[in-house]
Amino acid sequence: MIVLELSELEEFVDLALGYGAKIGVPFIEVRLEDGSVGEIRLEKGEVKESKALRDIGLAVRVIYNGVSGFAFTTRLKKDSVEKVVEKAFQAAKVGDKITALRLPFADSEPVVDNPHIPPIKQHPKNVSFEDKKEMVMRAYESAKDYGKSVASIIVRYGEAYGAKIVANSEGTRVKWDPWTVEIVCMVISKEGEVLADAWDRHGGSIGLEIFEGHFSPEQLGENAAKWAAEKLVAKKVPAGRQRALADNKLTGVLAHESFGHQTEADLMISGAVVLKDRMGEKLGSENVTVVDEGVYEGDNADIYRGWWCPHDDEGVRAEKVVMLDKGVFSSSLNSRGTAKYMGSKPTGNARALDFRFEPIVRMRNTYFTPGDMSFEEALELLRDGIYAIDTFGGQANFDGNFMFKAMRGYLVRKGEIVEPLRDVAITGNILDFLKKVEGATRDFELHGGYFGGCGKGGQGPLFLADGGPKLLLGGDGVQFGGEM
Amino acid sequence: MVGKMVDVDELLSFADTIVKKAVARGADEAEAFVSSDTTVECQIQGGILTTREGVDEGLGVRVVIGKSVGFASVSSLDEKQADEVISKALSLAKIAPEDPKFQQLPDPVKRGTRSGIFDETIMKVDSASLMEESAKIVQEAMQTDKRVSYVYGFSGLDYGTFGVVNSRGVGSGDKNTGIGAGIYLKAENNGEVKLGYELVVSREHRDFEGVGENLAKNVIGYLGSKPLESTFEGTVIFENKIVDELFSEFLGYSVSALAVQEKRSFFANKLGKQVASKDLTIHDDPQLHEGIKTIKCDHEGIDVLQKPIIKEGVLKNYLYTSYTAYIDNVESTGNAIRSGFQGLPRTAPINLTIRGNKNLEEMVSEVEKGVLIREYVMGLGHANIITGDFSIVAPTAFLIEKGEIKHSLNTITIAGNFFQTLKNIQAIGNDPILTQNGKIPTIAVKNLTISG
Repeated sequence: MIVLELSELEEFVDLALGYGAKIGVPFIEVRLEDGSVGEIRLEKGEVKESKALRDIGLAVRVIYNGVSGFAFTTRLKKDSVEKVVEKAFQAAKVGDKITALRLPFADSEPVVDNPHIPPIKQHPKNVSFEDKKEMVMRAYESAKDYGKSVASIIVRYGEAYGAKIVANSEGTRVKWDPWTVEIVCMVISKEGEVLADAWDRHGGSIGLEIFEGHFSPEQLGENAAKWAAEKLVAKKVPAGRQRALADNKLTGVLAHESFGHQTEADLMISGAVVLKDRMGEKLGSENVTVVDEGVYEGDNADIYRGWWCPHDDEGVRAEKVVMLDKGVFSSSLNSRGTAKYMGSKPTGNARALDFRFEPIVRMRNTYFTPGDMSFEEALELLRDGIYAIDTFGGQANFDGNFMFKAMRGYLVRKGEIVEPLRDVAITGNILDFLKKVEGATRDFELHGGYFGGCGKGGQGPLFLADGGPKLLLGGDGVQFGGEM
Repeated sequence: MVGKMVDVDELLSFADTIVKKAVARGADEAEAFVSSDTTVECQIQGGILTTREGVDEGLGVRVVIGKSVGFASVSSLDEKQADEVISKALSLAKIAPEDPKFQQLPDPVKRGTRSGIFDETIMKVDSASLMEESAKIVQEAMQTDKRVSYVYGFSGLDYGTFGVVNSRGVGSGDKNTGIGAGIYLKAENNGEVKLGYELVVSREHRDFEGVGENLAKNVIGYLGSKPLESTFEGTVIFENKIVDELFSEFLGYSVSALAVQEKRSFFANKLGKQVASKDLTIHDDPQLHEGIKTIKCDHEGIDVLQKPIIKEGVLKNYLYTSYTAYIDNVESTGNAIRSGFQGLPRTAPINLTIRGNKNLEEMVSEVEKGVLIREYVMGLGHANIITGDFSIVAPTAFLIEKGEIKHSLNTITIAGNFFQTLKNIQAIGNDPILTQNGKIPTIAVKNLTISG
């Protein structure tokens, strides 16, 4: 294992801070990252790819009259680091002359912290490649055993971990060791001309021991294979408005994509989103509360920790933000720059993809809070409609419109699951959607991991997590796509 | 900042030492990919200005022991780090299971190819001038009409070099320059909101005058939309920038020899067969002089190849990397592309080009009933890439009746199948635009289900 101790590189942080002071930079923030990434991809029982990446670099941000200048380098040498400080300062000074909007930082006491990672049994860095390969093989074998007319099985394992230092000229110096892992098993089944695909996955800032329990590689493989087989004979969703029950993974994506982005202060300030001036308004039913937090410590945190994010990339401690409180738009997500403008507090939401980018307002672990229904009660209340599960992705626009493709679903009649459905496209507008939530289940899941992530501002995929309970969507229903 | 560039020879000589070391340390075969890229960007989002610039350099090493392959990379061109990367790649190859299909790293393939446009003036553009460029785009758009309520403008440039060397005698590289600008804007009137997006890219230095104004005028033209309130089967004219997204997504996946060999491509077993309308010819044209992705050799160091993908409706070629080429016992088509030094080669088209002969007016005049889509749609990225089924949502569209554009429409949905779409092409435009995927025209497709 190649591990250069970050402490060996920390001198470059001091060098950049010192050089900034020397050339008269009013505020300088330095971020040093040393990240390692590993992936295994297995197709048809053969390991197609195993790779190990190491990504080390330094980022410098300068704030000058409320305007930022940003530069980065992979060249960790004295002259390169000094040049990066000069470039960032220069950019901020030029920006100062032409900018229309300034975002001076909210005052902040220096933060000095070195949080320890939560207790886990098996950190990926302490587990051999052989053992990881074994997990991937087990998922594959299981998918093969349970599949029907299997055309293709792809299993992927991914891990990322490393060390990060954020320091600034006010005396902040924060160090922590973020990490995430994930296993994904994808199965494509084929019968005649009909193809059907499904996946199962689990991941997050968790220990690899979690894959010995409920999320065993065997279970992930079996689920993906069974669901793909089931979709071979599944019917397409009847088009039009239908009452629906959205499962935990699907509600998570809605929490993040369609609602969460609306509450990001930079987008509110710039006028990009529909919630720009609607703070305090009642937007949804009593049954919807949406939270974004840095460290999830609730039930089953060892399984559903999502993305462990104790600080943001400005060094700010990650706060728990309740953006939607029983339907009322109550808080926005902020960086130090947006907080002052919004008359709010920094919430620890300033995040960067890596040292190549400057921190912008991003989410961490975003979810709908659970309710008190059991799954059976939710189906009973749904009566007739669609139970939509997981997602193959989707899109949400700043105007609130969204379209998500559920991975699979079931037709529900008289409170009973009747038959499976194929790819289910859901479209709507988030403001409309929030009003239709008639209830939420008790069970709660938070999903994150190595694969996927958010792509805001060209900075993707950024590690994060989303989740929630199952949500019952009533009213006049939600729009489902028709025959495809 | 005045740019300086690491030249190809410098990278090749560094890569060569890495390959020799890897072989000396036990690799049966070895390959080193080295790159150095400089980026400068500036964006103005609703008045908030941000800039970003930097140098991104690194090394990726692929080693082979028997039939086991290992890959490791580091974001550095430092010798000590490079030594560690070699160790890591070797240790991965030693414990990786064999890939029985893997035959060898590629032998050199020379095809007398050349580099695309290289414009040194781009290296002299600094963040200050990009800020002015972005500010101008935003200002133009805002001044066009007071109903323009939000503008996000950006511009950026990049230049870089890569070199790849392997132990079978491959040693090749190339360099590139690029500049681009884009705008995303929103127009609002009495609660109605319409959005538009434009991206202009070039290998040569250029200004972006008019980009902001043109888009603003277009988007203002979408206001005053009416609901469709019906479902019908008709013709959809997809303007070039949407065709770009639709075709690059589906074609890129389906023509990959890997997807074909693994039987997850719709095009498996269809080589030489009619898969599209006779009017459709699509090339992968990696030597298109102005092409954004034009290169001399691919990221395995293999000279690129000009080739038709679909000729007069007949599927002509799959795209190969060396891995898939050796399996089919053919020569690589030079379509091995990496996402950077951190990535292994993947199959990808380089520049897709499609030629047509009609202008938009003619295309509209031939439509009995249908819609014209000019702005980005939702849902393309989530279409079923294997079966081709798609269901897209178009927030902006115009209704066409009896050969005439009637009015702007509220959000509509369009459902169809990409592979059926290829067969149902009604007309191809003579208006190709240069994009990051190639040179792509407007295309009219009949028999799609339109509803709203």
